Amino acid sequence: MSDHETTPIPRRGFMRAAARAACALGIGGGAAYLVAPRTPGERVWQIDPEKCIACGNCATYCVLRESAVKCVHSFAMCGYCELCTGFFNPSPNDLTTAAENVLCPTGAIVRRFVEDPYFEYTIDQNLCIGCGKCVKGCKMFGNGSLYLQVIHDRCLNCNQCSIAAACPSEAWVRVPAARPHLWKKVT
Amino acid sequence: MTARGAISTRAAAGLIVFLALVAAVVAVALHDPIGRRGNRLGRDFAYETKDLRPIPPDLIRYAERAAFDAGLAVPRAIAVDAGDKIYVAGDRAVVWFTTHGAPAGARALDGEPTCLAVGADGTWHVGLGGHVEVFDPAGARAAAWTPHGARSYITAIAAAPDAIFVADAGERLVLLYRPDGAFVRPIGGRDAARAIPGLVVPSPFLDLAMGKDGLLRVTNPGRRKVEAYSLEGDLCFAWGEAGAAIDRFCGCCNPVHLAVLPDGALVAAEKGLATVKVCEPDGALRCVVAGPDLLGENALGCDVAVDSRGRIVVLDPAAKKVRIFEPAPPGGSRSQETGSAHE
Repeated sequence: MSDHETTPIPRRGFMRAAARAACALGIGGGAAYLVAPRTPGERVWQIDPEKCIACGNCATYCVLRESAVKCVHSFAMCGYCELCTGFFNPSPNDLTTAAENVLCPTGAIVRRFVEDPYFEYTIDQNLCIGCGKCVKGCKMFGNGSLYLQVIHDRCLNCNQCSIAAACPSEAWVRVPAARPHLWKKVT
Repeated sequence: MTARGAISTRAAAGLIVFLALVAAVVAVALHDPIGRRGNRLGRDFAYETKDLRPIPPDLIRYAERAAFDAGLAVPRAIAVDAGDKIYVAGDRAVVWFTTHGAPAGARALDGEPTCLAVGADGTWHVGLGGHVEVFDPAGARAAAWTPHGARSYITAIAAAPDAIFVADAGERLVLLYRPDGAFVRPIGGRDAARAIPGLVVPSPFLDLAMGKDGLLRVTNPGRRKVEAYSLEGDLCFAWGEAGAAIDRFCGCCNPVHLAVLPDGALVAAEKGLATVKVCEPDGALRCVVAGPDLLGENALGCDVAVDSRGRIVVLDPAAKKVRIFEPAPPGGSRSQETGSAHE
């Protein structure tokens, strides 16, 4: 028998190695798909702020325990009001940050004095659950600078989005992944 | 296995199948993929306004006597001329109606109108975004004024015989012009030396009206006040408090529109909990014309005008209607006589 003569691979061993390779390829491919930047042709979920009625379903219908939907703030549209109706109850006792006066149940809006009589409002996205209560207040009395958007580093981009199915105003739309937000603009 | 054992095994299996079926039925009943049962968040997460502004019925002393379609997709402004003809601006046009609401004419504009005023001589002044255009009584364009500033956004115009007042929400100023378009002076800018706190305009709503006492009334929506200025730009007095009560101005930025009745009282319109009310010249609440039960909850605000007979003409942008109100005994603001005005 020559030195170069190879021993035949048993059929079972070959199948096992092939299965291992297929698994590794699948896992690697899946991971690469998840971490790879979105190509222009891909589409992701987003909320059309002009159609959204801030019903609160985004907070509870997401498959994630903490929804991928959060409130965002268009500073260019904001009036920087002393009495912000997205921050304060509709009839506050006083314009202070005492809990009885504040609208957000999770305390996710931060109010900061700028200059008399202007205040800046920012969203703490770690606390926001996407209930849309502030969105309603801002839209009803103010100019709608607070609105809901899908946050894409949280969203799983499910084919069949469970919030989209539960959205009563059909505000959920697919948008190009290269431009994944529908920002409100000053008109 | 004994017969008793077989029976008890069968009973246990049947019970398991039964419980599984019950569980399946409950799961199907509770499954709500299309959001029929709402968000299931608690009361803390609900935005409640329906009990925020109760209006005592005896305060409502106007009744809607007529309502007609404005015929525009986005009606924005309303005005009444000396002959009580009603003008509505919107959709790159001005349309006008007889005092009874019958269509009487229309004129296309080069842009989206933001406000409208018709002077005693029949001249129209139309705000088109950042500038004002002037039309003669026949509707021919007579002039186009240059914008005052880079951020100019014109939201109201009042025409007096010798002066034209323009509310510039973008620049947060009232601009006084001569009828020929020559700029005279700004009014309402912050000036500590003259004790003028300045206009605060969080959203594109700044209105004005010439009072019967010769003082210009200007809304200061961010401060929830109405301010009275002399023609020299001095702040004479101001009134208004923030709050949801009917004698106050609600939300972040109200009132949004003003008009003056023949007796000098002011008609003030609020957005959000849409309300039109009449206040004495010093600010005391006289009565309510219509509240959210008729005008709804809307963020648009109803423009208001007054005709020579003291009728209050309200542009309801949500319903795209013109509503005409007349004084009535205390009670509801929707009269049984309501209907198409020109029927």
